[in-house]
Amino acid sequence: MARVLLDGEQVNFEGPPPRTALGTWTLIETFLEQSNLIVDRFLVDGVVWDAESGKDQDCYDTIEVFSMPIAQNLYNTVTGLLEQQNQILELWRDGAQVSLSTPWTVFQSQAMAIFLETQAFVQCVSLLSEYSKNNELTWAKTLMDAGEELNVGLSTAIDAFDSANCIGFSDAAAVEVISGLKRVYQVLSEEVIPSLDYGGNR
Amino acid sequence: MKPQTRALAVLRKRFPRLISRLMAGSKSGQTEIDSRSWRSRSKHGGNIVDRWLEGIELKPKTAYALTGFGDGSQIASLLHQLPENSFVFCAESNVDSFLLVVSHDETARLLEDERLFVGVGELDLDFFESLSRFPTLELTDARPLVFAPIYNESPEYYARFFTEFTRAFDYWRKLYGTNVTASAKWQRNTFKNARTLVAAPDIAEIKGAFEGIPIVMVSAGPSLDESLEFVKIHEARCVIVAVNSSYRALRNYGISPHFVIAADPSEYTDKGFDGVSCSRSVLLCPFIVYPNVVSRFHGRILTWSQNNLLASYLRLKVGKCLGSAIEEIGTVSACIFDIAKIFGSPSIVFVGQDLSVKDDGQMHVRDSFYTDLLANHVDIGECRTLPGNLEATVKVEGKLYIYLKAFEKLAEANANELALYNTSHYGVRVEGIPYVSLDEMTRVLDQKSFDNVEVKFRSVEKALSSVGIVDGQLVETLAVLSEFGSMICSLALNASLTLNAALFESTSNLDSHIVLAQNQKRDLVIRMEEDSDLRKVLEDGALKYELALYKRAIQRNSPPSDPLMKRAEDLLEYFWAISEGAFSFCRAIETSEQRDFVE
Repeated sequence: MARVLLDGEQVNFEGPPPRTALGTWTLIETFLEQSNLIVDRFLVDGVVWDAESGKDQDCYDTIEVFSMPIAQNLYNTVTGLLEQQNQILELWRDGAQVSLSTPWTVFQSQAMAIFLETQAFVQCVSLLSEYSKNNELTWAKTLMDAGEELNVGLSTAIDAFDSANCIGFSDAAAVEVISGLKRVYQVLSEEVIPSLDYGGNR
Repeated sequence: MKPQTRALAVLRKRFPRLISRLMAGSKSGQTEIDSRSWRSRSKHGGNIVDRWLEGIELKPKTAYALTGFGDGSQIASLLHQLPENSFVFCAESNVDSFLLVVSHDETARLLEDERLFVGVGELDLDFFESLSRFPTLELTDARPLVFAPIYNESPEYYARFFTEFTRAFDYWRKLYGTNVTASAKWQRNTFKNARTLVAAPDIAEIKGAFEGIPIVMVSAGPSLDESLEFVKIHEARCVIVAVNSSYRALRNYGISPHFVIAADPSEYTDKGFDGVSCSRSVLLCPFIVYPNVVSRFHGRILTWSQNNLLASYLRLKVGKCLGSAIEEIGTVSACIFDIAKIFGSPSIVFVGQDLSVKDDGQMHVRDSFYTDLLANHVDIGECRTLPGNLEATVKVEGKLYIYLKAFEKLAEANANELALYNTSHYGVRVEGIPYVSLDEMTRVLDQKSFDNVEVKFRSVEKALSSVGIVDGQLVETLAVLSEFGSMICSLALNASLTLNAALFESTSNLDSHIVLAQNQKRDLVIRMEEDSDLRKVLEDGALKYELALYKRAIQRNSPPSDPLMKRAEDLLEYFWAISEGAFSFCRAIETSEQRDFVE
């Protein structure tokens, strides 16, 4: 008989357990949300399974779920973003210089790479911002303002890229984007991280 | 456009070939172009230039090819940070915007910086002319330097600039290198040839002698193997001019060239005449040619000398006027352009002027001393591939590439005065000298009628009979040169020995020894300047090479952390350079006198 374990303890369902891995995930995720928890790891018969993989499994012997506090997840995410800080800033500083000493046709691909590297960071900040707003966290507004400043800088850089304007790109990179990035990193390190150390809501 | 400004005056002095281009002014009719257009696109002003410089690594002893003059601000900042012994060649595509910038006085200060060279507009020979004054021997590297705000306005132009700069830099580096390293030999040969050639008529004395008659210029490329019959057919109706390396093949085929050009100072030049008669042919040569060649043609020589400082000096001192100027670039056959204009010939038919090698690596005609010396083949793997006259592509060896550029330069310069034809079927395509097959060339010549070449040639022989005797005046002039050289050698040697002895004994009073040496250097310079003509002649020989070595040596001497010792060593190097150069000068005179006046 199929069984489901949550943090090492067997889950008792009202009725039979869900038949598919996805069904089990959905049920457990909804349950955990009520306690400000999220799914950290989800194993199906000992193998890690990802709900976003698009591949369901309709029979199993054992599903093991390990949870994590949302605050801890946020903490891990923000720490990861801060670890990349120097790398991201260096990318843009380098781009600001190289765009002035390289023919545009050659620099274009480097500019695209910079945008792609930054995209994941921007998406993370956006999700964080959304989460903080929905949960009325203390740092919600400052993060949103910093994110907006960064977005304006990035838009300017994108406009310059689209019009093959190396000067516009260099100015946007050196001033607006780097300023926006630094502001976001500052909020993450001075407000978000300390608040997460104390459990999430302040 | 504003009238003469200080910047234009500097341009006229440093880059004269650009002036005519600039004086032609605006071709577009626009006069309100904003030369600061790239700057107006920046929200943060001068930070653009600082940011640009932060992103590039500048190295010493490097020639930087820079894209765009603009308003000059990025150049000023670049020069401020440029490492020692590096130079900048800046290309500007837009003549109009450059003219606007040149109207400002601060541009003059920029243009006066001797580390900066400029080319404006069309990427032709005049554009790169100033590279002839680039200190190419001092440089170890050449790099492109993109200033993107201007580069991106004309990317095709600036990309082409980088390619052409590399070629032009390579070309002038090799030419300048030869000019310095061979200076002693050139002057030595001039002294040895002086007695014969100072007395010989200048080529200008037969000006117009072959009015209307085409020249067949026969060089020693591999096409000549299959072109000898063509030359023989036209021997009686065209002026046949050979070079030393094609002379033997022609003679052995029964052709007596009217003229033969020889200019190379090395002994290999003479090998072109081994085993064949030199009768009837007239030698055309400069004073630097290998002296044995002159001996073979004694009494049948026309010469030129304006490019040779010593030869010009000697001619003037014996009462002759300044000799003709014949452009000598790279290969001896390149002289034919000026020679043709002096002769009055309207056209030149090039035969054997391949400037390339065959697929098997053959570089010259089979019947030549190159074959005798087993030097008639090269490794085609080390050649460039360029468009050919008949073949889609041909192989061009490094040295031949330099000659090709020289020919293209001369063809362009003479396009309005000479009709040029290239019959070298194995050859590389030469811009400005279109290919014509031998059969087609015969048809072209058949359609024209010319005066009798032999009758014209007799007027040349008449000019040759007017050879004068200048021994007495020449001996006196050589004595003056020798006395000057000895005096300078003596002063320099004395100063070097004094300083060297002082350094050897003790360095405790180094500063007082340096003061003495500096005074001696000043006195030496004053004595050299007392007769600027003699000084120029002295500096044009072995001393040119010694001073080039001196410039390199002082860069290797003690580091700036020991400034006193560095000054002492630099002074010592200077005195040694002067004494070596002056000694070689005196020795060359002495040797020539023993050779010529013992007879």
